[in-house]
Amino acid sequence: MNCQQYENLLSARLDGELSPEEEAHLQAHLESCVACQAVAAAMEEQDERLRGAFRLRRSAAASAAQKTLTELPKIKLKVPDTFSSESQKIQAGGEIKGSFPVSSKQAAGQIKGRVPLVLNGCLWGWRLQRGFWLRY
Amino acid sequence: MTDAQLVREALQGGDGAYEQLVRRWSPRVMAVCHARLGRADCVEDLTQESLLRALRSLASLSEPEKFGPWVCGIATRVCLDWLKSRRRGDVEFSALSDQQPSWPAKESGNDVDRLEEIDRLMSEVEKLPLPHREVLMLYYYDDLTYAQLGEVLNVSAATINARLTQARQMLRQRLGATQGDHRQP
Repeated sequence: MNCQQYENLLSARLDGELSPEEEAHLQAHLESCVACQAVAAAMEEQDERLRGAFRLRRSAAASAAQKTLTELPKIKLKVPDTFSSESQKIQAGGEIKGSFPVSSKQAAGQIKGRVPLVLNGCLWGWRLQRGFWLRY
Repeated sequence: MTDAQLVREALQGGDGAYEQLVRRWSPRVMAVCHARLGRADCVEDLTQESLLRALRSLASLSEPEKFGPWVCGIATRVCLDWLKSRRRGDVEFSALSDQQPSWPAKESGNDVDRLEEIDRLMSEVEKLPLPHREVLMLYYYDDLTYAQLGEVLNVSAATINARLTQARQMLRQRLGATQGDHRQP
């Protein structure tokens, strides 16, 4: 393993994701590598600063949650009790505009129902046109 | 309680379940919005918008156990819509305000320095490439494990580890740290 790979382990150790074996392996390397010791110290310092910076952001997230919860009664009034099986089949995330899209199955059914009408129209059009030319 | 159990309970009318879902996912949704926009202002409003859209269409979620990736997908789309509407010159979402990052209003000398340092750090985080800032923000907004991060972003734990390591390395370089420049090959 080179120092870049040990840096992945340092990062994982910081995040509490190292197994005891990996921890021992990393520790053995750190004892002999001054550069990685410096990286480890810099990483820890940076981690503390990042945690401090994101503490403020977490309070913003809590505030967004609170505001969302104040809107909750309005949403609950709009949620229907039952949904058709077609609506429930809508893929995750597929509907975000507030209206229910027509599923592909429904759309195919609608098109299929209109095909004989269109063909019939074309046939009559052709017959009339043909009759018109034969007459004149 | 798992997300799937909360979704089912919420659809049966459980108030507490809605609340738990919102509180559990608001930091992650905000992290996604912050990473997508690359800026902190407006993020609170877009987080709220994303959560509201998710709750409104909760009944359309066919696999309740995938609530997390689903709500993060909604947040991504809300942000893309917003960016698109900004490019067109109109802002569609009703509640958007000119809010600034939530720094406290009155601060003394040391606090101002500290806030400026935080501001500089956050601005460098926001300039990281999207995959790196997304994983870094999700991690620091909500202290997630690699497995949880992998689930939200649909990548392996090893990828999460690599991206976090690279993000930290880039930040150290950009913020002027010199550590790590003379290491063994």
